[in-house]
Amino acid sequence: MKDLWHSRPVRKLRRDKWALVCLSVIVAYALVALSVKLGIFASGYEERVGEKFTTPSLEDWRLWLGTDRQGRSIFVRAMYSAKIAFGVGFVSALIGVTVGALLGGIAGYYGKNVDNFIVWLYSTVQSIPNLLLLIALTYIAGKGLFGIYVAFCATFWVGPCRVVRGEVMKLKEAEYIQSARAMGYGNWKILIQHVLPNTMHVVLVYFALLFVGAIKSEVILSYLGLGVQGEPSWGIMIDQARAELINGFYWQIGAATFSMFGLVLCFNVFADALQDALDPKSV
Amino acid sequence: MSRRSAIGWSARCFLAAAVLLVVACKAPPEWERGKKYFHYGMRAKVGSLDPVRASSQYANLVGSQVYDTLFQFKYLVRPPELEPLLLARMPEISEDGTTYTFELVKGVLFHDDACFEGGQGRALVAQDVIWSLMRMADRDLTPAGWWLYKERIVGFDDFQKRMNERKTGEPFDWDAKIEGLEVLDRHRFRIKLVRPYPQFLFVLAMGYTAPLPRECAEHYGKEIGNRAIGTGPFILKEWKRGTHFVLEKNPKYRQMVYPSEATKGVAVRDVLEPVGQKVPFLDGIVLHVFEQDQPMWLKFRVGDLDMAQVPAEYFDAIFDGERKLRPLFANDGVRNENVKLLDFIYRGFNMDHPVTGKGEKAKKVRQAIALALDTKEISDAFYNNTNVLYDGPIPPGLSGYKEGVISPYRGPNIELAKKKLAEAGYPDGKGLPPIEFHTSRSGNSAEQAEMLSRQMKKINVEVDVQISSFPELSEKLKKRKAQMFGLAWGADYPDAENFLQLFFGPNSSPGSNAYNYANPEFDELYKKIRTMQPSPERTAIYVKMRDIIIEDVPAIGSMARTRYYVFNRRLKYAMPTEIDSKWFKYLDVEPRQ
Amino acid sequence: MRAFIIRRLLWGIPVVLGVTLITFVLFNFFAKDPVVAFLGKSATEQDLQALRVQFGLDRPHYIQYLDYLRQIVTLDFGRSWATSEPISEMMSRGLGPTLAITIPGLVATTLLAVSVGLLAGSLRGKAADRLLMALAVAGMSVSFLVYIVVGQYLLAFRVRFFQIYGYESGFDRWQYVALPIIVLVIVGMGYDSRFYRSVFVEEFTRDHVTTAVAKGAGSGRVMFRHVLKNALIPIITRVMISVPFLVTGSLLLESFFGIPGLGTMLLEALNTADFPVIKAYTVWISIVFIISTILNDVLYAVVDPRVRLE
Repeated sequence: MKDLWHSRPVRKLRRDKWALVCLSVIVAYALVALSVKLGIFASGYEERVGEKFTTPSLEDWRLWLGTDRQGRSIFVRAMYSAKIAFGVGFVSALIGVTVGALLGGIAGYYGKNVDNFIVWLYSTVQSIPNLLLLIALTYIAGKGLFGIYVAFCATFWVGPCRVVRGEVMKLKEAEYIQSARAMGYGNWKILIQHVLPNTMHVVLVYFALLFVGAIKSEVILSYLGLGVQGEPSWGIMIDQARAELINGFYWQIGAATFSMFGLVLCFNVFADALQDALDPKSV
Repeated sequence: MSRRSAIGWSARCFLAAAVLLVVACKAPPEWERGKKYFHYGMRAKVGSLDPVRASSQYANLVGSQVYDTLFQFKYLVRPPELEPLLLARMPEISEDGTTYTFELVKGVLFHDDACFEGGQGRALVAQDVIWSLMRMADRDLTPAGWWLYKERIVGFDDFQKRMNERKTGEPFDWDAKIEGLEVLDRHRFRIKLVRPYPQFLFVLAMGYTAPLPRECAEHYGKEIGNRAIGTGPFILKEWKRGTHFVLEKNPKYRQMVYPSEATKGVAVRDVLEPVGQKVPFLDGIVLHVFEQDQPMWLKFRVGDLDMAQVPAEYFDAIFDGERKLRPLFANDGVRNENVKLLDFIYRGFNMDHPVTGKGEKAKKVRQAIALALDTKEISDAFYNNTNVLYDGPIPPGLSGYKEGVISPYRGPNIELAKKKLAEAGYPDGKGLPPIEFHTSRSGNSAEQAEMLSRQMKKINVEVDVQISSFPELSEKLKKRKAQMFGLAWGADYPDAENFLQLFFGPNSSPGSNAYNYANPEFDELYKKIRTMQPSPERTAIYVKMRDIIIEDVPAIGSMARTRYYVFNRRLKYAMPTEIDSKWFKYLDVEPRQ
Repeated sequence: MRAFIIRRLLWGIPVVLGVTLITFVLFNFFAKDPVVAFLGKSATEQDLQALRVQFGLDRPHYIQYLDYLRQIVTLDFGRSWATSEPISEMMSRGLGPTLAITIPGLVATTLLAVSVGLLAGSLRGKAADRLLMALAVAGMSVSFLVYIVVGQYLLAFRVRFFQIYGYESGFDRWQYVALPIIVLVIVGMGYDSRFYRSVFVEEFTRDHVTTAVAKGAGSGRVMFRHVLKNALIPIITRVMISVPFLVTGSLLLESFFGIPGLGTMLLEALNTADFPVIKAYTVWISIVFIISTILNDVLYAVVDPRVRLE
C-alpha cells in the first residue's frame, strides 16, 4: 500500500491540484450516491413538497431548486439521480472494461484463430450502429436498469478490447514474458499475472471514459423511453423538463444539466490527469 | 515564429468553417408566395393513406381532405349531426331498419391521375362505393375497420370468410355478388343489414369506406397507400415522409357551399361571414409532421403554423387562471377555441387476473384501488385541470351520461379504500402482490404512472410500472398479459354504444374489450341496445349498463379531455371539432408574402 | 495493394454475416411481435395469422435467414411493411438530408478542431491553451440532448436565426440544416480539438522540428513541411472513423429538427417493428463501415510511404 502511495503515477497525481479537486468532487458525488443507496438521503423523491413549478426558496432545503410538475422536489430528485448515475456508470464501465481487457488479452496473447475470432466478434459488434444495438438489446433484457446494463456492457467492451489486444501483442515479445515462459509458467498464469497488469494504464483510463460514456448515453436512452423506470435520473429529468423551458421554467433542466455537468467534467479532467500520470512515456 | 504562423493558419481554417455555416434568410418557398396555404402541425406519422387502413387520427386527417365519404358531420352544429356528402340526400331506410337505399350526387369527379384513361379523373358511380366496401373483406390489404362491418351486412361475412380461406394463387373475387351490397343503377345502391344497426350511418362517415377507383387501386397495387386518388376538395401533391404533406385545391371540386346552419354559441367571431360562398377558399394545405411538441409549438409561435393544439405542458404559459389567453398571445392576434372531446381516459384491469380480476375478493381490491386514486390530482398535474372527471365509460356529451352522479368508488377516500382492502383479505396491503401497471410511452404517461404509484402507496399497495411502446402494449393486451393498464378510447362516432361495446363479453381480447370483462347481465343488455334507435328507453338501458360497470370497476378514473386549439391572426372561419376532419375545406387564410 | 484490398474485402464477408446473424436473432426472436403493430383496434387471431403469412413470418427461421442473405446478395430488400414502399427508394431518399447535415458537420468540425488544436498546441502551457482546453472539456461534459433543446429554443425561437423544424431541398435547405450542423460541431469540438492538440503537441516536440526551428528555417515551411504533414495521418484516421456516422446520421438531431434522413427512417422502423427496413439498414451500415476502414488503411499508405500494406 505504501509502495502504491509513493509510486510514480500516484506521486504525479498528487502534484496535480486540479486532479485532486476533481477527485474530491467525484468522491462527494459518490458519497451522495451511497447515502441514497442506503436510504439515508433523498428517499422522498416521489413526495409532494409544494405546489407544482414552485420557484426555489431557502425556507425548506427541499425547495432549494423548486418543484416539478407534480410538486416534487427538484433538488431531491437531482441528488437521487447521482445514485443512478453511479450505478449505471460503475457497473457498465467495470463489466465493459473487465470483459474487454480479458478478451483483448486472450486475443493478443494467444493469437492465431483465437485472435481471429475475437477480432471478428468486435468488428461485427462495431459494425452495427450503436443505437440500434442498444435498442434491440433493451427489447431482450427488458427496460430499466438491467436492460441498460446489458445494452451498455454488450457494446462497451469493444474499445478496451482493441486497445488491450494491441498492448498485449507488444508485451508478448517483451523479455520478462519470454523468460516467464521459459521458466515454465502456464500461459493463463502469465497472461493474468504478468501481461494484463501491465496494461493497467489503458484499462484505468478506459474505465473513466466508459463511466462518462454510460452517464451520457443514459440520457439518450431515457429520451427514447428505454431508460430507468420509476426512479428519477438526470436523463429522465432532462427529458421531462424539455417542455418546461418554453414556459420559462428552467430549474429542472438546469438542475439536471449542472449536476451531470459537475460529475462528468470532473471525471473528464481526472481521466486526463490519470492518463498523464500513467503514461510511461512522460516523466 | 512558428507560433504566429500557427495562429494565421488557424484563423484561415476558422473562416472557412464559418462560411460553411451560412445563415440564409427565412422566407416562404417560391411556390407559396402570394398564395393561400393553410399550415397545420400533426404530432404523428402516417403509414398508409389507403382508406381501408386509415385507422389513425392522423391518416384520417390527411385522408379527409382528399377522400370524400358518403357522410360528414355538420361543421357548425353541436352536438354533432350527420349530413350527406357524396349523397344527393339522406338514404331511405325501410320500416324494419335493415334496408338502406342511397343515391349519389351526380357529376362528382375523381382527381386527375395517370391511372385513368387519358389522365382525366372519371365520374364517381355506385359501383365504386360497393367495390370500395368490398375491399374491407380482403385481409391482404390489412383493413383496420372490418370490426365495424363484421356480422352486419347480409352475406358479407360469408364472402369475407370464403375469400380469406381461398387457396394461394386464387384471385380475389371482386365481381362477386353479395346479397347485402347491391348496385341499383349508375348512381343508386342498396345495403341490406342483418339486423338494425342504429350507428350504421356514423360508420359510413368514417374514412374506411371512402370510394377509391378500382382501376387506380389495380394500377398501383401496393403503392396505393402512398397515393390518394379521391373525390375530395384537395389533391395530394407531395408527400415528404417524415416532414410534410402538400395538398392543393381540387380545381374540379363540385359545387359545395359554406354552410348556414349553425348552433347558438358556435356562431362566434367570423364563422358566419362566408355563408353560401363556394368552398374551398384555400389554395392548399400544408400538413407538417412533428415528433416533438417543442418544435411544433415554437413553429406556431413564429407564425409558420396557422393553427395548433395546445400541448398540455405549455398550457400554463399560454392561458391564465381563468383559461383566457395571456396578453402576450392575445396581443399577437392569437385566438383560441376549446373542444370537449368524447373520450374515455382510464386505468383498466384485466379481469382474467387472479388477484385483481376474477371473483369477489378481486373486485374489492379494484374498488380499493379506485378509492385510493386521485383523478383530480392527475388532471391538475397533467391536464391543467381541464379534464372532466366522470364515472363509468360514458363521457359527457353523450346520452347515458348523467351529470352530478358520483360513483361510491370515486377517490380519493383513503379510509374507505383501506377498509375495502382489508375486506378483500389484505389488511393494510399485507399479502397483496405488487400490481403490474402497463402504460405506453407517449407524452407524460411515464410521469402519470409515477403518480399512480405514489397514490397507491397511501394504502400500501405497491405498483410495478412497466412502460412500453404502444405496439408492445397492444401486444400485451391482446395476449392478456397486462394486469392493469392505462389507455384511452376516443369515440369513433357520437354514440355511447361505442364505449359500451368495450365491455361486451364476446369482444374480449384480442377484440376491443381489453379488460376481458364478461358479465351475462351486461351482455344481454348490450345485445338489446345494439339494434335500438335513439330513444328514452335506450338511454335508460345505457344508464343501467353504466351503473353495472361502475359497480364492477373493470376501469377506474374516467376522464374526458378538453382540447385547446389556438390560431394565428392569418386564419379565418375556424371552428375546430375532432369528430371528423372534413372541415378544413371551410377555412381560409391571408396570403403569405 | 490490390491484394491487400481484396484480402480485406474478403475479411468483410464474415463480418457482414455476423452482423446479419445478430440482427436476425435479435429481431426475429426477441423483438415485439410485428404483426400486432400493424393491425387496428380489433384484430382477431386469424387476422394476425394472415398477416404473418403475408410477411413470411410463418416460414421456418432458417428459410427466413437464407432469404435475408439472398436479399443481401441481390441488394434487393423488398418493401417496407409499414409503408409498402421499396426500401431502396426509402434509403436513397433519406440519404440526401442526412448527408446535408453530416458532411458539412464533419468538415466544419474537422477544420475548426484542427485549427483550435493547432493553436492550443503551439501555445502549449500558455493561458490561451489552458482556456481553450478547459472550454473543450466543459463542452464535452454537457449532454447532447441539452445542446439540442437549448439550441433550438435560443437560436431558432428566441433570436430566430434559423428555421425551427423541417426540411427543404435546394438552397432553402440551409435555413433548416444550419442549426443541426452547429449543434453537431459544438458536440464534436470538445473531443476533436483535444485530440488534435495532443497530435500537434507531439509533432511540435519532435526533435527534427525543434532543430529545424533552431536552425532558423522559415516558420511557415516548418509548419507545412513537417508538422502538418505528419499530423495528417492521425487527422485522416480520425476523419475516417467518422465516415460511417456520415451515413447513420444522428437520430436525435434528425428527430428534433424534422430532418427526413436515415436516422428518422430507422427510428420510425424501430417504432413500428418494420423489420425489412431495419435489416436493410444494418447491412448497409456495416458495409459502409468495413469499406471506410479499408479506405483508412489505404489512405494511410498513400500519405505515409513508410506504411506498407501487407
